Amino acid sequence: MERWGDYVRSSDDKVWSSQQAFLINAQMESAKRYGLSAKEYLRLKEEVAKKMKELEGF
Amino acid sequence: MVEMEYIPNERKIVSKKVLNELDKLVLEFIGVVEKRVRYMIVSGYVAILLGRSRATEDVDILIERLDKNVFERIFSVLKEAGFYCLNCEAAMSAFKYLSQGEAIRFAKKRMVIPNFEVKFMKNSVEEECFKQCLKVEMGKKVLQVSNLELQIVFKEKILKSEKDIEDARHLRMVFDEKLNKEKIEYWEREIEKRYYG
Repeated sequence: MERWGDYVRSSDDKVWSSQQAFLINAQMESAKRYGLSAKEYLRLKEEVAKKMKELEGF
Repeated sequence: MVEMEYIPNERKIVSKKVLNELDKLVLEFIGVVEKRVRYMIVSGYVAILLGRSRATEDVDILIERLDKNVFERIFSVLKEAGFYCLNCEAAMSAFKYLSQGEAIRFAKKRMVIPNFEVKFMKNSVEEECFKQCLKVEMGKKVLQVSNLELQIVFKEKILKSEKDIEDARHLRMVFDEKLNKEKIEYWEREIEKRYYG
């Protein structure tokens, strides 16, 4: 991670971003096959938020 | 060689990056929103926009409080642009969520992620951050993001997940000597007061 940060800092924008685009675009393609519906996704987010709140209580 | 340039006294970052599909989607969404309301992108996508190589399932956006009629218009134009609200179908229901301090999410039709989590600004830290937000210029395209110093402090002190700590480390590494250390200390104190107070 630190090497990547250093690379971004010291490289031409077009060079590092082309590599970033390769990764991000692949992830965007995968997102088209996401398994949850909008309702299921929101329920999941709600459960996660509830769990986080419970953990904060500790 | 053209590197990303942070110009603190102009509150802008100039980038000649190649836009990826997530950047283009964000620009499309913001292109509708920005015509009618002031906004600021916060959290994970900011680090990604500025070079972090990881995924995100959502883009967090804070908007100024606005009138329900203006919101209805935004809702309608987003629909025309191919976005839908995950939470509800009706604009007024969505506005009610926002007014109650809840977030609503928008995504492209037939998609669930990535989505845009939209909330009203609701506290003095967010409002102050908004006054100091940065413009990221990518040619003629511009996105408004929260300032780097606050992003770093928020991720290190409030969010604190492994992913957030690494996002903060990325921003520190890329912008290093351009970061305002006094501002970082200021935001650390403000967040301490506001959140741990």
